[in-house]
Amino acid sequence: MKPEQWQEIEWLYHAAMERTEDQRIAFLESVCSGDGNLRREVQSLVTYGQSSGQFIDRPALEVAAELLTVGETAEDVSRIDPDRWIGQRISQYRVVRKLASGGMGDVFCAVRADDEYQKQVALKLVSAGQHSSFFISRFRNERQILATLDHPNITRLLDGGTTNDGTPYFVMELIDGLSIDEYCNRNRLSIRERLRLFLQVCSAVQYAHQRLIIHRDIKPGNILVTADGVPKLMDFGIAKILNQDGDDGQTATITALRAFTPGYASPEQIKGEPITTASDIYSLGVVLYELLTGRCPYRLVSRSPHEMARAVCESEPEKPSTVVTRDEPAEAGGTKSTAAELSAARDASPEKLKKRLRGDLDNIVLMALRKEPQRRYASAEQFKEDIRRHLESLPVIARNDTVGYRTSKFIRRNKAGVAAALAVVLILVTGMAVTAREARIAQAERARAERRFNDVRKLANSLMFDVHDSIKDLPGATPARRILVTEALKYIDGLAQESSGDVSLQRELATAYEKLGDVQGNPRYSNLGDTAGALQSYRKALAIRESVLQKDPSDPLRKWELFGTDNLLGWALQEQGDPNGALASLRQAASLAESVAAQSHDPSECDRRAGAYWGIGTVLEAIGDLPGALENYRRASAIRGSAQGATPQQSATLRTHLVADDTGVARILARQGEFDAALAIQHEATSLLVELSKNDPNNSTLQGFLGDSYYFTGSYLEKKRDLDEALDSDRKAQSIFQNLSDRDPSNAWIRRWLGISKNNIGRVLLAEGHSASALQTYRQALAILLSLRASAPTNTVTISGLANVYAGMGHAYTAFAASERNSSVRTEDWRNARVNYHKSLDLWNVIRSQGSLDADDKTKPDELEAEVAKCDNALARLHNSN
Amino acid sequence: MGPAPPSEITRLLQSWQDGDQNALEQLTPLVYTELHRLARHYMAREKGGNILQTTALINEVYLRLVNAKLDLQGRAHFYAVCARLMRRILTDLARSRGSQKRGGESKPITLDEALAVSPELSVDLIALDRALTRLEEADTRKGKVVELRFFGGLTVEETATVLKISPDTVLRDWSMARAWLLREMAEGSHHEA
Repeated sequence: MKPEQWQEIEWLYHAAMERTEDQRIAFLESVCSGDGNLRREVQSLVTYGQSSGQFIDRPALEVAAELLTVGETAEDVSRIDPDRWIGQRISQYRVVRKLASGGMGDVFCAVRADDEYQKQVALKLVSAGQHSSFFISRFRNERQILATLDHPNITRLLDGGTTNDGTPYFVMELIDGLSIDEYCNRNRLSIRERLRLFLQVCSAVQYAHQRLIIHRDIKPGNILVTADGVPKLMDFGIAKILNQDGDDGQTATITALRAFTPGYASPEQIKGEPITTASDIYSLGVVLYELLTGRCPYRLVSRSPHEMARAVCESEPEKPSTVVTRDEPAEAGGTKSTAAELSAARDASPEKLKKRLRGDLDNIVLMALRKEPQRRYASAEQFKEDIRRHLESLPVIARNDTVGYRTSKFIRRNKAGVAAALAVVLILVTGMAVTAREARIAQAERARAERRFNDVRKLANSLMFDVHDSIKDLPGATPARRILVTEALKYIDGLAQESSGDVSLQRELATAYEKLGDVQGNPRYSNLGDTAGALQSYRKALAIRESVLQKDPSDPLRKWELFGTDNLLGWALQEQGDPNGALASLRQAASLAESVAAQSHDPSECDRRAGAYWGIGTVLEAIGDLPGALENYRRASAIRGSAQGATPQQSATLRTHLVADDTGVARILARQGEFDAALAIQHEATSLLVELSKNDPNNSTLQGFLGDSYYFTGSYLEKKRDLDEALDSDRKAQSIFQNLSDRDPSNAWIRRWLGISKNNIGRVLLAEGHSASALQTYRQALAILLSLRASAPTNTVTISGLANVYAGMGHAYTAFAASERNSSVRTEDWRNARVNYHKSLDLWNVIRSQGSLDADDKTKPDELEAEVAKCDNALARLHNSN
Repeated sequence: MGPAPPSEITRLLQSWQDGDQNALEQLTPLVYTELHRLARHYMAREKGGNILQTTALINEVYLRLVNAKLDLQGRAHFYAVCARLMRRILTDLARSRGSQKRGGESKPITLDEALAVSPELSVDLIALDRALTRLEEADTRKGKVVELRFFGGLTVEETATVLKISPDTVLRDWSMARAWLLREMAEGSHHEA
């Protein structure tokens, strides 16, 4: 549209809009005098202008904020922005200000909204991702008990409920005080004074234990001391309510997750074993240790959760008396603490402190810290009494522990660690972008510790939105993923070393290795292109699964798992260009499948078993063993056909896979020259796919297969020289792939097929003599394949596609040259032809040197050499005749 | 993850002002992070009952990211950038959500319950984006008006300041642009000469 026209329309539009309906018509009639188009144009604009109503009236963000916060529930969102509550009402309370952010949620200072009371309370919003309805019912049950906890050293639970968006909250007595360690340090309390304070804490714990309430989260932060010097234990039993899932197995996992914050968790918590009152005793022991020495019971080299867990479960804490005379170097993020400073805070010198702690106090603390729960103090009361006895210079129960006992290895069921690693890996597999800073597993695990989940998958899903900061691909995503993979690998390798006793752990680890392998090199996912690394990971998984199978050789589940790994490995080896290795693995898989399901008609077992044979077929096809490939494809097809009792879903899956089998058969027949037979089968496949996709129109996998089917049909027709029909088919394929690519522009598989289908079209056009159109199409294919090659330089399919395109372009120029009279243009044409043939030759040589030259393409390098030579001859002749 | 250093943003803004289109590319992820955070913020407040104006959000972005005193022109540019980015980001997301719903394999399947956005919205954004691109080809200024007002959330006055035209012109542009876009989205592009 010319600018003047546009301007005219514009002023007419505004003029018309300013008039009333009747005036408008007359106005336009007269002004447009005869130019019907103009009048219609303005009229239609006015019509829309009149009815534009609310169109884009509200700013985009207001309607689309959900898009930017994909997957985040209201809970997550409010958790992320706790400040929103300030000044708001929650039930009958009004939030005044934020006091702290805790592991479980944020604590606010609140008052009752009916100003009568003005009493300040602590309102704790629980952001642990609970299902509020579940929580409410549980809370009601426990509230009775908790509300009756009436002890001077326990903060009272006053109230609880859920906010209007479902976030659970607790209301507690507001304690204005310092955490117990801070209080003791600031006031420079002596050992005696600290012990006195600690006695009161023990009383509180004892009181609760008698009411069958376990705290589960005792740490200095949960023990506040008022200005009057009264210690108050907080968050009692809250952990218990929140973590119970009705199923103790779950509780164990969850608690283990929570325990992965710095070292107050007991060994059994870390190991995922049931929690008892003894766990509280242990935690009390850690608190006491710190009060007495200012240090952590275990010497840690790094802060990795693995290291910490191992330390807690296996290493012996140092004697308090020993540790106080040492200066500690700065811990990660911590400050240097000298022995002098620490003892000064205890109103002593290092030497005096050592003497004070040596003997009874050493033994008392260490007894509470024993690895085996039953060897600790039997109750908080007993603990308290022993301390009291010490203070009164009476003999204590705690003895120097001379009995050597074996510490059990820490990995019994370190599900949290594996789960976190798996989750991290799952992120990688799904190709989510991660920034390098976020790539610390420890950070991820700390985030994990904030939530409660039922299984690993949910964990993984959540973690996806936790670890990364934005959904969009950031530059440098791949290096970040490499770092993550390296970290994850280290972590999982570490776990693997410890895992020999635990079969369920081993199975998880094998899965983790498989997923890592996928990220490293599985072309079906956005991968790092590290096929060697992938093979290594798959092999590790394989080794584990084989040993797992050995422990129970007849377990079908273990066999299927091993089957899966064999398949993965086989595929990877094939990618690597090791078809023999691939066959070995795939045959293993097949024989495993036979041993489990030889006679089975169960749909999913048939599907899997058939899949193994199909896999073997593809490798045999690639190395040129056509009869072998045919046999395997047919076998796969037959097995799938023998399935019985399939649900509609299973049936759809089976039939989709059947298409792949039959397509394979057709391909082999075509290669053997039996085009008619091949076409017949391929047409059947196409019809089947069309039918399947009618029932499932949004299924892009099916669409992809349909595209493939048209593609193959096109190439068979081409071989038969039915060029028009071939072109028709090829174009159908192209349009399907174009469609799929538009929907998912980052999917390399689809783009590759699009490029290759264009290549086919080019070739047919060339055969029909439309060289110019052919060249144009080839150029489109070139653009696509070149961009693919840039991001995945070693992909054989891309490279061979490119080689074919260049050859095709060479042919196009040759055809131009043949019909060109002008000799300088002709020279140009031959030159272009030569350049392209040469590029093609180079690429075939690359493939050959990779060892990935298909049987079918064996002759290509020689053919291309011949073409290049032809060009040289033609050019020489042209040169000579000038 | 903390915000990018203000100096970096300022430098990029300056480059963009000077005509370096690349700078826009680099700005995108930096500003995106902030926008994402603000969107969350917005979502949270929405649930709490107070609807936040988009410009207020962009003001916040501006304050957080840019500490140098950009002149009035610079500010205007910044708004234009944010509007442009918002458009790009939302459209990209709408597109990817659209493909997710069709079961694209390489994207993660998010928790279905969390898909709060109506399917129609995604489609609208994509169609709108296309139509807007065509509008820009016909009339840059009107395209900018729409981008600033719809994606940037600017008021008529603010838009007038940024584009250096009168508010009245903004209103007229807005009216015609909306009519045109609506028609475009409803009937397709056979109106182009």
